[in-house]
Amino acid sequence: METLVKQIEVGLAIYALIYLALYLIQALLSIAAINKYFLYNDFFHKSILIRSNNSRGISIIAPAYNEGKTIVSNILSLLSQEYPKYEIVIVNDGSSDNTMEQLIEKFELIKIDHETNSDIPTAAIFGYYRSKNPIYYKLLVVDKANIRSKSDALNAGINASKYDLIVCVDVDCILRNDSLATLVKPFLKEPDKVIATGAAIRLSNSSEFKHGTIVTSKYPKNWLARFQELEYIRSFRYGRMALSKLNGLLLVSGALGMFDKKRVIEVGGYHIGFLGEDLELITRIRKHLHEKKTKFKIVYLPESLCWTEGPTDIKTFINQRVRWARGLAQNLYHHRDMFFNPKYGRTGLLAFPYFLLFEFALPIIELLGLLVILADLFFFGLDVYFLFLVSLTTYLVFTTFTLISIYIDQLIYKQFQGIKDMVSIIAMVLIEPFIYHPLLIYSCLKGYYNFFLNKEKKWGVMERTGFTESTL
Amino acid sequence: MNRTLIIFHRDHTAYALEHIFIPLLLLAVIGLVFFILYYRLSDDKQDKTKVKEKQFVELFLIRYFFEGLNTEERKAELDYFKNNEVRKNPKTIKLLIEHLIHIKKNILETPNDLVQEIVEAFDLYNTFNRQIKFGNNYQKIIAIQHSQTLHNHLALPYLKPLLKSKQFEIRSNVLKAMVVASNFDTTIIANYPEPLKEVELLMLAELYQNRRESVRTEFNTWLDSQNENLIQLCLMVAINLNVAIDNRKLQLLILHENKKIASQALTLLLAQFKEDLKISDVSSSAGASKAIAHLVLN
Repeated sequence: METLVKQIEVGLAIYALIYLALYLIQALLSIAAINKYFLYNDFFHKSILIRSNNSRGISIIAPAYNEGKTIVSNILSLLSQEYPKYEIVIVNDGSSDNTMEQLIEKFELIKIDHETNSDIPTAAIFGYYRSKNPIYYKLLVVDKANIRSKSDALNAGINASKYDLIVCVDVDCILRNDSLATLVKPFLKEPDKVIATGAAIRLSNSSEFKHGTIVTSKYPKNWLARFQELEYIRSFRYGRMALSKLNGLLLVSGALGMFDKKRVIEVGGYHIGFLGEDLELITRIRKHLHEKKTKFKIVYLPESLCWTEGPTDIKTFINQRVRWARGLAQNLYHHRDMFFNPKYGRTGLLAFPYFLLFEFALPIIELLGLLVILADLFFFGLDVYFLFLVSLTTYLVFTTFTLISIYIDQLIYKQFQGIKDMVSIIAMVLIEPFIYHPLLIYSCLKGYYNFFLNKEKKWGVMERTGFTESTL
Repeated sequence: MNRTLIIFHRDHTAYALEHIFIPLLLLAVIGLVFFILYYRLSDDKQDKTKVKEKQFVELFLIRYFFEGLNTEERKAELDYFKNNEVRKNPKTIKLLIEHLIHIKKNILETPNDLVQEIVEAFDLYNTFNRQIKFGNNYQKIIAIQHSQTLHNHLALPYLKPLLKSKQFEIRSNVLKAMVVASNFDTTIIANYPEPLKEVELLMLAELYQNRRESVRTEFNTWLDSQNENLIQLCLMVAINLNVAIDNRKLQLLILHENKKIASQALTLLLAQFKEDLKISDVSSSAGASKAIAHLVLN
């Protein structure tokens, strides 16, 4: 038994070393990708797109479920995009509150006959609505039955949309007003290759907004939101950029992502049985294109284009993360035939193994580490000083990486205005491993447990507090 | 297994962690904390300095362009600016270029002779040419764009070799700058060795559409050229300017094997029938069906 525990310890040490090495590689790749992006970003000014009648048409698709409190301001925000040719497709997903009434009243909607451009199967559609008021000519509302699936609502939006490029967003997200013009650029550069683009997402808690666009980005006041912001910075500045550089992205966030509609329709749209529908869609498109032997590219932009409200209480936060973890497990399990399968190119040989070994497995490995420590403590003798040294090293390594990601973030955007915000964010970096990390691990393990024991899947409800309107 | 165990021998590992890794990492963390805070503070300071420098440049340009100075007064202003602001801080020249570009792009009545005086006084063409030749890719792109806006005719010999650059972003900007430098001669576009990408066509369309009246007279020549780059450019400029093109030519083009050309021709046709057929949205398939039906029936 003791030998087994010792062997597990060695295995864990090897895993940790590989993980740290990968983190370092990710950091280097990410810096290279960000550097390249800003080196060439000025080659084409967005203003050309904004002024041209030849710009590609884009459909923004936003499902709304019980968003009565904020739906009007959210749509006004989406309408403030600086882009000449776009429409907004709001899918009222059988809301039981006054979402639909709000929409009809505020936007003067009337029921219309509408031709759909694709026929991905969805739940019953009650009707299509457009505004009588020409100011809102870009708005189309789809009213449909709720089958407890965001994917189904997105599919209904895809069917109703008229343009070839679609942007799927969470309706509560606030977009930077040049988001469409920024996301579309890679499609114009490599139209036959790029199938999806995504960008960094930030937390809107405590930031100030005016007329639906961000005025001042502030570090959240709520402690839980502060940790999430930190996690977002690290994730978008390292992981996604590095995977984008290797063209190995498996995820374009459901909060903001632009897709080539043709590819989405080819694979039958979003899968309605999945919680992590964004991850699953990209996986399926990649699989499909590998099978067709078609070259493709998924691009992540290092710009912060979208602000979303993060959960501020532990219960909602854990629910959200349990859902994400379950979605990850579900996706990896469902597409398990892709693992190390050369037929699926870098998706099968790089992206999938990475997600399995270093995204999915990490919480399990950490739990295993804890069990080994307990076994040593009670049965085989624990070298406390050695444990302290290893823990301190791990803590310092991750703190260093997180601090570097904050520095990169500052270099790019000076996201946070004051020195006070910077001191707060650094303080949160130092305490994150003791407070936030255990919460994350717990949520992930709970998500896996729910998935493997087939516990009921829930979306959960998050009470929106809305946005702080700037007085400027 | 034993070999692995030796690598992870506790005493050795503990020694390495305690005496090498932990002190180094601790230094890195403390250093990074101070560095981030210092960067934040110094950046705020720099911002304030930049605002001051910006004001000097703006004041100089306002006096130079908009206060009706005579030649001698302008020369005195230039000399003063050169010998004081620029000598004190050579970075001011970068700000001056940025502002000059901004004025040139946004103020239609900017007197070209005054712009030229500043360009010559600061030897800007040679600065751009040096950057085009020796700068990194970012500097190259910016210098090419500036050369285009400030009509740097001396840049042509430096631009030509870059038309073969492996970097698409450089190539596309060179193409644009060469079109301007050659006084909008379409031979460069017609002879471009590969099909233009959407992003390049958008850039070129904007350039040509600014020539409004003169470009309209060229539409027929472009459409008759059989060159796909030119045909696409013509259709895009026509769409941007919202001008009518010979219906018969468009009807032929909607059958073009290049789908992009076909769809652009259809867009133009739809726009022409929009009023007659009361099509509210030329992008909708219902609108397209109506227009095609109209074509077939007539």
